[in-house]
Amino acid sequence: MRFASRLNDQTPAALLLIGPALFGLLLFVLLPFLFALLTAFTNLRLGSPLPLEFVELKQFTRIFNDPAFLQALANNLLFALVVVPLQTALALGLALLLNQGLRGTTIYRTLFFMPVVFPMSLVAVVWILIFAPGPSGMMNSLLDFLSFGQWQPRDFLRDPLLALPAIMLLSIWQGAGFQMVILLAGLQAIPQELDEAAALDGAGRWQRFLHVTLPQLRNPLIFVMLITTILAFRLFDQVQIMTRGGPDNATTTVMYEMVESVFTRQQVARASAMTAVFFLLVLGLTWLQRRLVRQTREVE
Amino acid sequence: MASIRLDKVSKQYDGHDAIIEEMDLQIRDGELLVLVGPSGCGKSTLLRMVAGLEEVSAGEILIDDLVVNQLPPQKRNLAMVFQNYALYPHMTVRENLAFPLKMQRLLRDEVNRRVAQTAELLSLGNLLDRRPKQLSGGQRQRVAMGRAMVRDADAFLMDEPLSNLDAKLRVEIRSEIAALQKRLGITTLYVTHDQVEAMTLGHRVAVMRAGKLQQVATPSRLYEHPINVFVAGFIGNPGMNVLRVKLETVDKTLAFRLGEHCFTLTQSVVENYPDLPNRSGQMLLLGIRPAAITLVEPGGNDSLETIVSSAEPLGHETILHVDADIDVVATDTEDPGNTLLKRPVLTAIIPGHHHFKPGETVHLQIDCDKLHCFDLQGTALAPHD
Amino acid sequence: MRPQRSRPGMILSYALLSVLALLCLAPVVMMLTGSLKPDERVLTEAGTLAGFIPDQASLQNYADVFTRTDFLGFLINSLFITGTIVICGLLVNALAAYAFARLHWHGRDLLFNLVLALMILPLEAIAVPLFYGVSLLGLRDTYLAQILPFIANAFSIYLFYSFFIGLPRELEEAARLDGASTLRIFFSIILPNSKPVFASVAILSFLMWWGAYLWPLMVTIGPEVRPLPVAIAAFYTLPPLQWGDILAFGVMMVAPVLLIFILFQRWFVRGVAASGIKG
Ligand SMILES: Nc1ncnc2c1ncn2[C@@H]1O[C@H](COP(=O)(O)OP(=O)(O)OP(=O)(O)O)[C@@H](O)[C@H]1O
Ligand SMILES: [Mg+2]
Repeated sequence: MRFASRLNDQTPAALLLIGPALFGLLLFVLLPFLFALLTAFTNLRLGSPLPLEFVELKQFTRIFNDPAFLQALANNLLFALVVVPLQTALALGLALLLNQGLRGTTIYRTLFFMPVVFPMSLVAVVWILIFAPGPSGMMNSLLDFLSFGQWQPRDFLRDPLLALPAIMLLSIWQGAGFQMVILLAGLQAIPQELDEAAALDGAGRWQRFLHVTLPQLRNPLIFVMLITTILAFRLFDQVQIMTRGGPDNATTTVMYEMVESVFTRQQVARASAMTAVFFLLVLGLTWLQRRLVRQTREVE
Repeated sequence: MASIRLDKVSKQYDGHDAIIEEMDLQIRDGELLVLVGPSGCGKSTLLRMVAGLEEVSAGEILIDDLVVNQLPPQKRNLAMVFQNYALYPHMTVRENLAFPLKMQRLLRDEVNRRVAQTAELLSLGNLLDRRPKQLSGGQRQRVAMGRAMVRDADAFLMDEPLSNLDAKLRVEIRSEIAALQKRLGITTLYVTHDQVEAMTLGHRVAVMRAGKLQQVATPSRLYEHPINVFVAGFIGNPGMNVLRVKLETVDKTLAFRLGEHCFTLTQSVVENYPDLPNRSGQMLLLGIRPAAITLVEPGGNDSLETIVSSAEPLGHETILHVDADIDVVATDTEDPGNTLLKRPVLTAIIPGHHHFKPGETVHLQIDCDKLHCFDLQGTALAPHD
Repeated sequence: MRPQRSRPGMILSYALLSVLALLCLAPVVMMLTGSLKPDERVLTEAGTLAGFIPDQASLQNYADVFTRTDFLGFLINSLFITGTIVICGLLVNALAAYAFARLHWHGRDLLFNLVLALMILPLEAIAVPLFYGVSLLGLRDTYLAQILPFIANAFSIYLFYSFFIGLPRELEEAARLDGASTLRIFFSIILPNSKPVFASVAILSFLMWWGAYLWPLMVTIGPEVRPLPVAIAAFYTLPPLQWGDILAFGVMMVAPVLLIFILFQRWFVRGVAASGIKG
């Protein structure tokens, strides 16, 4: 932008206003991020006496040959593949149920949203108790009840097959309310005339849902699915508290491996390489979302 | 009080055509000047440049002979009334009125005194503790006026301040504004696209079209002597009919032919336009106010046979649109002489309440005393004194 | 209101909602009743109906939490860290967003695009270098390391921006003509008319930092500046394992938030919905 004169050039005032935010974003977001991208190509270790070296793609070849990291990627992927559709479907179902104008909607909405205000670390600890081994464990006895006594009590969090699903379950419990609220807002933004017009055109309820509601809900749906997918790749708190990546790496995640590298082994460079991989995943997902939404974002 | 002068002011956004081109305009001290023109012609832009909300691309704006191009709005000491009033929604009427005074760091007593005085003047007394949301449209309008008045600004700028009101209220507040302005004697630049508002309110009226000033004159002068067909068509309700005719000399008098009939120009018209005799044999644009057309019984001389296409009976008068075998030109184009309306519709105002049926034949007579003459480019023939 | 369903449809809806609500509520009720029971009965009764009935209720577990850990200290840490991030964040990000939305200045569009780009970087993408920097500077185990990096937030700026851009421009123009300065306009005109977005941003960033675990886990060493989420995980590993105490800790940790949530639930819901509407 050019300015013919100084009249409306508010650069000094603007610098004052954006100064603090810009300082923070540059120093604590952009700079560290660029630093991570750079160090991913070095051998940087915290407190290491070795000289800093440029090691090209060595860190990347290392992590991609590390079975634990590959397992972590696979776990994240599996988590996303299961949790995103399930949680979105559940949230959509809840939103639809709550969008009928039934009496008591607010109470139900409050209940379903409540887990969202629970810190994940608390949720994780509480669910350790729920997944307690032995027949008196809450989940075990629920399954026993539902299967009319056929269920053999399992130690969920130490079972290589069940540990990850267990973590998925509590993640859905905690996260569905968030999605539900966004989808509910999306539903309420659909002009009711559309639905009525379709009804007058002779569309049944299921057809209206397919041809009116779902297309109108496209952007919120894409948004919540993106958020949940990214959340799936950020998976850490539950794993760290409940299983520490075990048993046998069955629940390890990219984030968990990353923190392990930098935290317990001081391998800054290796962790940076994982950061880069993580970032590329997030970038790809976000790009996909923007493509799907085709939104034109206005910069004024 | 102050005078405002625009000296060759232009406005252009990067990569767009000019919105305002080399505009010269003076608003005299204490004058109410109305800026009128069709939607999108750049009135608001001009007003906002005067206010300092918009950059001037070229030329100068002077307030009391001081160039203010570089002066931010805060320092111009102008007050503005916005189309949607822009009342601060979170403040009461009292706080709204006090805000500009507080910005001037006046003492609280002085603020209270001035707020009370303004409220009194606009009879806002019992509304002072309400929020804008709790006011009717007319009341909001008055608060907006009050906020402009309260602070002794050098001039008022108003951008279509009445356009959000219903028709009745508009007339009411229009006269209130006129009275207030007269009483305060404050220089006012008033923007509207409504020519009735312009004519009733303005000491002088500036007509704009597509970023260019057409004519600045008193309402009566604008009506009597429009400088071109655009102004002629824009001012008046409905606007002037402009026909393309061939000027002829019949029996040593100037005349023109409409359909079957030959109309001779009266002496007063010829005196008005001394250049006319030289144009005998040429095409020319002739303006006829709808009020200068009267209904006559069939069979009389000098009457035009026309077919009713529609009629709008208004009670005290009837606006009649008729088809006739004539060339009617568009008044709002660059080249009116060559832009004939597809359906030549002539508009007349007939006193009284009449019912005409579409398709009915009526005979009309033209008052040849009140003709306006323009060249084919649409410019009034000079001199028009 | 949407068209009402038929009667059987309505009953089905209520049945579904109620079952789901029960499932959703069960862990919470279990947590609350468990916190009131003697430690040894929590685990054994969790799977039975008795797990949901607080007979012999006592506050012993709550008392134990205070003797076994410095709960109050953790609470104060959490309140201080989250409160500072939220309040400073509101001011810093709103001011920046206002400059992006309304002022004319050199480099505005460029910088705004940078902010939009930074929005996709989650904390996890910068945790490693940030941790490295904090370690080098010897700032582990400080409040500073837990607060300062997170005050400026691209997403908050974006939320504020979207709101400010929709405010009527005339309000500010009127204020400018009335003689108000930029800062004055922000505080006297913009701020009072932007309560919804301030509430949204406050709630979203509060939820985010009140429950943050990864970063405080990395930068805190001792209990001095440890916030609640890390503290409860640490408490869980503190022998002897006493479930009653842990659940009591949990209840106390979530109760204030839950209370605020129930009082202001409309705002919570609106805040979260606002984050999605732009998507
Ligand atoms: N920021 C801008 N960039 C480009 N063109 C603009 C901009 N703002 C206004 N314009 C154009 O300038 C012209 C004049 O606009 P302006 O608002 O001054 O018209 P107006 O005469 O006040 O019309 P109205 O009676 O409808 O209010 C319009 O054609 C408009 O499209
Ligand atoms: Mg306008």
